[in-house]
Amino acid sequence: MVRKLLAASLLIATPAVAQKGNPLAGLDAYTAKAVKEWNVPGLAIAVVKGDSTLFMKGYGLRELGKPDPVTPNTLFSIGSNTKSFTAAAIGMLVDEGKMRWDDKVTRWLPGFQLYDPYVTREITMRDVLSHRSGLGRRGDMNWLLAGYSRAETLRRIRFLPPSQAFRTESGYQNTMFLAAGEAAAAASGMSWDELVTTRILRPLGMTHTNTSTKAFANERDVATPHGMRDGVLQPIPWRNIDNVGPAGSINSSVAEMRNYLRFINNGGTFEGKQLLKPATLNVIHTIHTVSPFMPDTLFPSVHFRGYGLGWGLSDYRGRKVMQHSGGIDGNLSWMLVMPEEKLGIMILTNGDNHMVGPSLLYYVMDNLLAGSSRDWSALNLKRFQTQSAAALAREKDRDAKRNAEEGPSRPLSAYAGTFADSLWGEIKVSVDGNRLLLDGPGIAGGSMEHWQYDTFRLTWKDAQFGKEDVIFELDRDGNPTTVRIENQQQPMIFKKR
Amino acid sequence: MKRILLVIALLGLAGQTVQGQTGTEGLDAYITKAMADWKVPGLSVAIVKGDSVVYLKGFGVLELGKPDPVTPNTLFAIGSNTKSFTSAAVGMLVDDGKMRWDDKVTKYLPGFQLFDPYVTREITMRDVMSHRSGLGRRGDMNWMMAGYDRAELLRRIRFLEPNAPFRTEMGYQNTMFLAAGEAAGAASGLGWDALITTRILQPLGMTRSTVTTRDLPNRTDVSIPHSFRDSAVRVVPRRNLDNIAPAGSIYSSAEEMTHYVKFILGKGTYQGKQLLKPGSLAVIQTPHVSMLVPVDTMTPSTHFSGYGLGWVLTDYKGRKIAWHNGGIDGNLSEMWTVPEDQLGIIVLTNYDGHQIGPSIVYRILDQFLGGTVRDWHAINFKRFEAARAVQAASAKTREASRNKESKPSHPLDAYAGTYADSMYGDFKVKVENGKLMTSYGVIGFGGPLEHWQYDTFQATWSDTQFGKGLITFGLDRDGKVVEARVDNLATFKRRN
Repeated sequence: MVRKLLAASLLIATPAVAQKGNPLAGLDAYTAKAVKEWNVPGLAIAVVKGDSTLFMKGYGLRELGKPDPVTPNTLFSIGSNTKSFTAAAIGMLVDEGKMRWDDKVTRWLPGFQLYDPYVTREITMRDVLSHRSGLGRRGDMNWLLAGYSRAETLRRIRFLPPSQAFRTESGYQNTMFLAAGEAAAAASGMSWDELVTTRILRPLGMTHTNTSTKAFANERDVATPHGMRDGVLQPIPWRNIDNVGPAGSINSSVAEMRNYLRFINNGGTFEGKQLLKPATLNVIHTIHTVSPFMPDTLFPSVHFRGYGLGWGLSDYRGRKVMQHSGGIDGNLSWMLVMPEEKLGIMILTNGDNHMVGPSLLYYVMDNLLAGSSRDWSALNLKRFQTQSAAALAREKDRDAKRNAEEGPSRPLSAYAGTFADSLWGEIKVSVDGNRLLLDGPGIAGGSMEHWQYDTFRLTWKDAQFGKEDVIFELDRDGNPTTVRIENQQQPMIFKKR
Repeated sequence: MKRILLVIALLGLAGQTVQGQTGTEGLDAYITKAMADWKVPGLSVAIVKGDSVVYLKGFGVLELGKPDPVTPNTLFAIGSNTKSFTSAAVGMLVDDGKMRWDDKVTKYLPGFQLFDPYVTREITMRDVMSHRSGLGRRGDMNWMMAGYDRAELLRRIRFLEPNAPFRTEMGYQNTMFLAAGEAAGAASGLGWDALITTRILQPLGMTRSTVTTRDLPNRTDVSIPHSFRDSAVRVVPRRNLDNIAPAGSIYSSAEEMTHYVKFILGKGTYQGKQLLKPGSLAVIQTPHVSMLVPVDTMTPSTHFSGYGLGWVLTDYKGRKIAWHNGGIDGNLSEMWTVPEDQLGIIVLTNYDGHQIGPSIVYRILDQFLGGTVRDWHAINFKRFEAARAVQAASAKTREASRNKESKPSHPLDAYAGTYADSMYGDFKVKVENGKLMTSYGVIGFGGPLEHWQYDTFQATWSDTQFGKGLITFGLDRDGKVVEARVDNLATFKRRN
């Protein structure tokens, strides 16, 4: 299983690269170096200061093996950077008096229900926009793998028991952003897609930006996502995530994202037209969920971290920083705004296994604020490689400890059957020679080979999800009645029908 | 009714003066001038930098009209600065494995109950020490006016309806700090008072400091509280806070508070001895409830504001600041720390009608942290005078709009009776010498009523801290007096 819609990750770095004159004079060469170091197929970056563009350029290729270069107009997925568009759209409805930040979600979605009746009754727009529902970073398999519709994804979320106390900690929750977007749709009388398109994309002149991969049919300059498959970086299919649109479905270019950054930098005003009140933007940019602070000697000037409404917030070098990242199969993106400096940075890439983004963000901030920067790319790469090696070692260690001689307890046919869960839906297990087949909703499916005891190893059909352990639990009569998929986000448990 | 424990007044300001000094240069004159303007009888100031106390001084007198000077050893009420002692003590119990931050309060106080059953079940030690219970800044009259004891205060708090959703906003809650202290008292087996004394005051050598006014007769060099009464600064009675102690009862001196500040700046270690783990202090000084930072041109370098566990947390000039203030009848105090700069500031005063604390603190911050040094005193003083004028004007407006010709609906004895509220208790009204007389609570609070207009009367409270207040009696459709709405207290329903 690889990373999905992704959130602000903390990063790292060391030594210094001195600059003179134009503080971003070295950015071109540095970006080229970083793209090479991280083996990223293609990347586009824009740096704006106020309304002017300090730097904008594309690097590498739209698709490996083809000649088309990435340009500032190349469309990529911005993934979870979509979340701040959802928050801004709701802010506009708040400005008009059509919604309030403290509206209960059930005011707009009367059927909305969560596991705990108190939380169902109390949960507000602020709560669903700030990852403090208590549900944690879970439930993503329903839109990602099962492919349920927006309505069905929202209906099923009531069966997810909370993993954290309500409103106490940050638990990245895509389905709650879906709820926010659908509530805004109900309040505005148009779909989330129309709302974002008519209220944000069009007024900002983001004409090629869209809220669905379906719109790519009309576009020429589109990046192809890339992922590691069998140890080789290669093109992979676009994933359509319309079913969780408000959490991550926007696709854009750095050229067009500049306008969004200018709109944020100018306190909600774009080219003289106020789209969002500054006070409303201030709510969006206020911490609603505080992150536990972990001191890192590389960031001595950071004192606070938290999540606003669709933005990660912190301070850096005495300035407030608002940022977010986005990630969906084969695309990673980063967005950063430093309001006091009226600085905005957008980075889009068509690879999903690198940390080029944070490396460049800190390179730009350090050069602009301090006149020099550490070699963040090298630092991050070192840490990244160490972590990857450790993960690989853990995996090898598990493989070495495998006891394939033990089990399964029963002939394969005994494991066949239909298993169900109210949150996830229904899966069927059948026998195929010396393997078991799993077939579930959407693209959930794959084949399982015996691993050890009553554990099988599942290879998902969609390579993005890799392999996972599946444990069959036997009841007292020796019948496998429970299937437990050890998903990295949370165990998915199904009971025999 | 006036201010109670603490103010958390974020101050904003304007204008600028002196440029770029460091250290304490010019501070004596600045403080003396400010004291004269604000008419503060006495105060003491301490500045800690690293391991050293770089400034420690008393100004003015213990009591107006008497010669005894304030010294660095003079005892003052530190009020709500007590709250971080309570959270530090809980942190020590966490370090001992006797408590956890996420323990439910009901684990230690099984009878603890709040209005909402979900909140009762869920509320944790973190919640009660970070003002996010949803109860808001209310319920204080039960310990101030009624004078219920700790157990009774905690029993009655279940009747207070929340005024904000659980864990969404900062609502300053003294009774929740009482719950925290009582829970810690139970977990330690010592009670809050002995816990604080043995785990914090004694190890820090704070031998003159105490958790109760009952010890003050055994101390010398104790300041006398002063308030603004009848257009002048006057001595007022000292309030005993034993019933709400974990939220605000400590008395200390500037000198002894430097020990506490060194312990905080030392990440829990004092004179080489670790009393609290750095990780626990980090939890205490992490925001647990976030506050909106208004755009204020005087503090453009402030980006975040939140409440930790007994500390207000913010950033100023690129540094994290952990601070708190305290206020109780006749005393205001400030405690500020800048961990990165190993800077600590203490201001203790024996008067409660001023903003000298923040004026001194920001001056010192500016001098030590660099950048523009503003004349915070001039700015705050101007703002304070303006606010006081607005207040006086609104009182006049109210007086002018009063309909003196109107009469009460009934003869006085129709208003006599006992009015009750589950949260606040009984409010009694009787006729005495041809006047209505009230009594409330268990410490003799009350006062005579004068007719104001219609069925509204004005009380002159026996506790001068509360000044005067209006009480409106409500009639049912038969004309019977059925309720008493006491301003700033509660609506009491007639019981007989």
